[in-house]
Amino acid sequence: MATLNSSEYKKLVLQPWAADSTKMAVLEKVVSQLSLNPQSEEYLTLDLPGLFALPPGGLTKAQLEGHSNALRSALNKSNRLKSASALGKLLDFLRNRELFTDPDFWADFQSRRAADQQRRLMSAVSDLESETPLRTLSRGQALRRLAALGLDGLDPSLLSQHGFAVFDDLRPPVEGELSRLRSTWGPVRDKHGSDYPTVFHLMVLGRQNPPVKARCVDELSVGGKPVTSTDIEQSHAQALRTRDSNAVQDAAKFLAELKRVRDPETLRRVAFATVWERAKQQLSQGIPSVRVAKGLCSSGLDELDAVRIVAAVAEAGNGPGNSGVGVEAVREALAQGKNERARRTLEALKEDPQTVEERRELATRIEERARDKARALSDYESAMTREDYAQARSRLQDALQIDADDSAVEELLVSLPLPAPRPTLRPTESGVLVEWNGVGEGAHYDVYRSVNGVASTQARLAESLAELAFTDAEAPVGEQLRYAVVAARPGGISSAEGHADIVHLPVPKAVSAKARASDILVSWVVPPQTNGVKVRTLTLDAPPETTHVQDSTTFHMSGADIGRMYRFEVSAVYLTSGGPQESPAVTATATPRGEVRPVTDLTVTAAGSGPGLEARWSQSRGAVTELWAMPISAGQPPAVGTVLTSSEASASGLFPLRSTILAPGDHHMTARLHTLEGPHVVVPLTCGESGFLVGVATVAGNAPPVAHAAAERFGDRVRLTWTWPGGNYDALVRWRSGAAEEQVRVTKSSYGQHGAVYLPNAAEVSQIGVITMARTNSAPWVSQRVDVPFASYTGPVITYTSRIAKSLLGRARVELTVTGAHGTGSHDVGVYFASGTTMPARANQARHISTLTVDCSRGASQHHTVDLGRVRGPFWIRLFCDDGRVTVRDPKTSSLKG
Amino acid sequence: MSNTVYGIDLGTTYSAIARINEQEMAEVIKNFEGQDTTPSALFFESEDNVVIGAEAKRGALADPDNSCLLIKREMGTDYAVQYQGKDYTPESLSALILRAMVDAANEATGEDVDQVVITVPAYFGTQEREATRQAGQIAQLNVVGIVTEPVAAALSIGIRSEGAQTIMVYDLGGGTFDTTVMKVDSGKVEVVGIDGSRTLGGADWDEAMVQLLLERFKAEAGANAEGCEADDEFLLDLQLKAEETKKSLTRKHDVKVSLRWESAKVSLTITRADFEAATAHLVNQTLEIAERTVKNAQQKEPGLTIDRVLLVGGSSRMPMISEALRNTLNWEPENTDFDLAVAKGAAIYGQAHIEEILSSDGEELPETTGNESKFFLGGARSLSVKNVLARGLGVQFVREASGDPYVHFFAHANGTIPCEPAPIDAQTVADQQTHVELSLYEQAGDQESENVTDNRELKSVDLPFAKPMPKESPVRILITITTEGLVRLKAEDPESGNSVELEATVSQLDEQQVQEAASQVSSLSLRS
Repeated sequence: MATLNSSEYKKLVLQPWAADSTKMAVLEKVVSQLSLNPQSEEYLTLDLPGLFALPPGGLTKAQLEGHSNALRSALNKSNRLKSASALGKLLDFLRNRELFTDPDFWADFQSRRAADQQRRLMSAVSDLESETPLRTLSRGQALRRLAALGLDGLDPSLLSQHGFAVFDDLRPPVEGELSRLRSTWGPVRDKHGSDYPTVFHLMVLGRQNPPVKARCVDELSVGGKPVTSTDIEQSHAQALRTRDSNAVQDAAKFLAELKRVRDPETLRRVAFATVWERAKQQLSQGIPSVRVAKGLCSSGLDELDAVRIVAAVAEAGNGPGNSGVGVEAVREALAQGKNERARRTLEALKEDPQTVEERRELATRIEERARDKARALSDYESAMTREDYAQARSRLQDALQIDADDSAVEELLVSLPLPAPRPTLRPTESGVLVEWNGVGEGAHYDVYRSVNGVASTQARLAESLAELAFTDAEAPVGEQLRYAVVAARPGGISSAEGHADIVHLPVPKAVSAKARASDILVSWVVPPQTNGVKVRTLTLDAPPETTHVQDSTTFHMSGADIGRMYRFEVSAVYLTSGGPQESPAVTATATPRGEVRPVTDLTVTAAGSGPGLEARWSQSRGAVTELWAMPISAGQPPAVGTVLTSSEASASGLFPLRSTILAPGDHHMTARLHTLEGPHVVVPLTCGESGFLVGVATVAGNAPPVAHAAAERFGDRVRLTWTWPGGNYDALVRWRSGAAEEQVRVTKSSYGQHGAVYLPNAAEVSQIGVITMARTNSAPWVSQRVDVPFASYTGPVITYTSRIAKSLLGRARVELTVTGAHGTGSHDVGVYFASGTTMPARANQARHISTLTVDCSRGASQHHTVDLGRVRGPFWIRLFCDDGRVTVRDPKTSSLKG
Repeated sequence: MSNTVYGIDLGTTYSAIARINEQEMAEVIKNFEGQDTTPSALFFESEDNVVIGAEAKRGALADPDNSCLLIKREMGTDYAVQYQGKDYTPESLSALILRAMVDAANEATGEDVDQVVITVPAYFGTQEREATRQAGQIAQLNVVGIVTEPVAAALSIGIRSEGAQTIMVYDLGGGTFDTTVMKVDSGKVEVVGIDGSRTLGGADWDEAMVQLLLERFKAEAGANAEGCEADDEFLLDLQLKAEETKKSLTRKHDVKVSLRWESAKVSLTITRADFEAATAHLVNQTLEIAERTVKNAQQKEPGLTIDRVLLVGGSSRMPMISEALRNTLNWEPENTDFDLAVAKGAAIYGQAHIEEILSSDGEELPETTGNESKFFLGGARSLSVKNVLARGLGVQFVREASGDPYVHFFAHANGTIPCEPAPIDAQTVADQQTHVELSLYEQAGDQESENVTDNRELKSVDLPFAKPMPKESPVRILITITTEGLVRLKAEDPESGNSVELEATVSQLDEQQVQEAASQVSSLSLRS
């Protein structure tokens, strides 16, 4: 029998056991159990022959004794290892119970161990059932759980005999796979979950049927049929055909981006990532894993995929209250392209039996990326030696994608030559404007110019510009110019030059067209290098005419029509190496106005109907007149015949009135103006060559109107009342009396004397209006009119004359001549008597003394005499209609008084 | 009648208004704040007061419940919303924006114009265009025309007599993305192909910037940032800074952003490269759509090549757009007025319309002695615009074998209009059939689909037969499509001579609802 080799023993048993925390936990638990209960057979959970490196085949007691001593020696040599310490205790326990040296103990150890394992397995199954309701475990999970339950080394697939599904380990998705689609996936996921519960619903939109048995763990398929980029294209086309809605729009955007993913494995990882994300979110909300898995199935996911993913998410520490910070941080760093940070974070993680596999996998990934970065940097070096800067940039960017925090790589990138800028050129009045696109952060630009393609003429016009434009004010005229722009960062290599060409043809400056009478003078300024100027004349009803003007800076046109607009397009002609060329044209317009005369007949009145004012005047043909105004209190307007610019007009206190021309004519103009508050001087200003020509002003403006205007019959008159506005105003009352227009001016004081205004011949009165007038020292006035409703009565009318006679004996009688008209039938009218100096206004203010029946149908007159008896004056006799349906018109008041 | 018409670019995020001025040039009219564009934002201060424009946008960030943004995305749908206790539709909300724009323009010009041309994206279907027209009616405007945004943009660059060219308009606005291929010549615009996305625009770039800032903030602030996403005020600050940062990166390579939440105070540097990486997928989507547009145009006109590429829409200013077009598609895009081109083009279109020198069916107008060359038309005497159908149109049939319904398309997206597709000879499907139901559908997805549920029913009508007809009796369907995409169908029973006509002017609101909305809008006090 070979002697135990302690070095080999240390290498093969002690060290691996010491490094494996799961195994150590089991070993220590056994030792602990045995120390508590020496009769326990807890050691059956361990592979003792393997742990103690027993040679195969039966050993005698002596051989076992010898082996035991060799073990003790080996364990002592490695007593720093915790495994050696634990195994030493175990060895002591077995020796003390005289088991280690008993050949019978070892003979049936394995069979007893198998029986014990079976028993433990059943117990483990029972424990696992309650801990893993999905009855689904990855291989790694199963191994760890079994080891923790004292079944280290047991094949996890045994669990499948007890209703558990054991599958290959699932790695969580890498963040980067979904990130570039996140901006289009996010709206679909967050807003349209009811339309598209899973990404599969979008991926197979083109198949017209909702997805069933969708798989994304080992393959990407729906209903057993693979999902490929063709499906994505068809789904996108289907989205475009579907009736428009916000959900369809967002779905189409996502599918348009997904179409760019051509690699089938990447498509699978995208789908996997979305399902992982959903499971993670729901588990973190505390939803039981069984329910999460069921939810995924009912959304169309294959059942096995659903349980595998949910189990893996839960195991990855994404269950409720478990943030899984350690390895997650490493993954996040990797996803962010920070390989070094990922490495450092991984190294800083504590040993955690739960994440051993994961950490190993991450470490492998980190190493792979580090190698990729090294390769990228090596390629960069090669590219630099070849001066292939595009390739060098590309490889540095690849390296930065792996390690975004590597400032050294960043510096290398910054020092590379930038891409050539692309300049554009534009002629302006100040020169040639050179503009270009920005090519990188921190870049500065130099601008060069050469003439006619001759390299020796190249001059640097500007250097180290930070802005993206430059104006060459001294650009040679009429020459073919090339502008080149070069970019560089401080300390970096300059870019190749970007260039653009232009033939510099400056446009004419100070182009103007002035009309005087029927002549128009066009003038301009051009550089001395021009070969004249072309003037193109455009106007209505005439074909354009072009004139080439040389050796002059003006063009004269005579015989222009007054009032017609003429447009002149002026372009400079240059003789270049390519022949004569014209600059872009500059336009000026002119409209001859003829002799301009001031307006002398402006009137401004209240508008015929509605608010506002109406202005009328006459002007010469082709003239344009504006109406300006100033408050009366602002002073005197400019004198007639003065010529003003608009700023001088404003400075004098005038402001322009907004007007609408109602009836444009050649000479007579009518315009509507807005209401002016308060009296104003309105001044007509006629446009002339050198400014506005001041015409004869008029006063206008709406004084505040009277309020509460009312009219009523009062005897044979109309009694008109109103409330005056504040301020110093008179009123003008206008009305129609029959066919005639009447008016009367009323001052506040005269109104105040009677408290009203009385209009005669009430029967004939209509269309009463009251206009408030501003008091002015000169000039006519105008103001707003208030119409006062008053309708002439059109029913039956009784008129009468009255003559009161008295006898010498003091007896009085009244002789009445009564006439009825404008009606049908007869009406009773009462004769009333009142004593005193006040005429009765109503029947109830007098005494009824007689009733007359008057026929109103024929207009015939009747005579009546009423004896009044002996009465003392003064007294009144008046007629009132008893039934109120007839208008009784009284004669002169004096005839009613006795 | 006034001889002025306003062109209005009613945008998803910004609107603009323009006219042809006395110099016969298209000019944008500034708003009360002196800006060329007005945010398409509404803020309901109270039941009767509405604020529109920049102030509304500021109010929207602080009080989103009483604010309305991006309403253009809901045009043509039955989207209903309440503000301050009152109901509003997309049409009436857009009407408020239109009214405010026109009032401000009238105030600025001193005129009293009510004639307008309003632009719509090229991919707007029948319902969306009708909704836009109704918005104008509700605003009590006289809508003299609806023109597509790419056509308007092409008009605004002043196509001069340089010979025929094929141009691609790449219009990336605040909320939507349009691509159009058209052939242009002096006074002529012919659309060949259109495409786009109604949910892709500057707002998506803003959202990407918000996410980028949030991610960086959380990474820097660590645990101190926990819960910040639930804080409305923090998110509001984030949104404002995101938009500013996005705009700054148009001019600069990097921008410093300071963010603060509770005890966490972080200063971030966002580079243009960071932003481009975070939005690469958005740029990719626009490139895919642009390529698709050209491909479809080439299928229609083999050999077609793009001579010019115009960038339109404020979001096209981002350098990443022109870089991507250059590097990926080898195109050299040209800048335009970006966010003003469409309004100017609409003014040009409108002016041509009211001067009666516009032909919208592609036919040239006869030369008359009264027609002079127009500066705003680049020297041409008239304007001819030929359009294409935005969405396919079809009729529902039933499969003989299975009895399953399906939609048969008689006109396809990008087909030239006006047109008269070939008549459809259909048959009855059962014995003793007493009538046939004619259902007109419009394509509702980005591409055609035969499934009935993938399409939108525009209108249905019954054609009764004089007597019950046997199976397989013929029914002839005649179709006409007008210049504005209006469809007229006539179905005839040859035996009896009976016929029924169907005109698809489709809208969400009927006449009475439009009038009620007009009354509601006119009662509101607008401030901008």
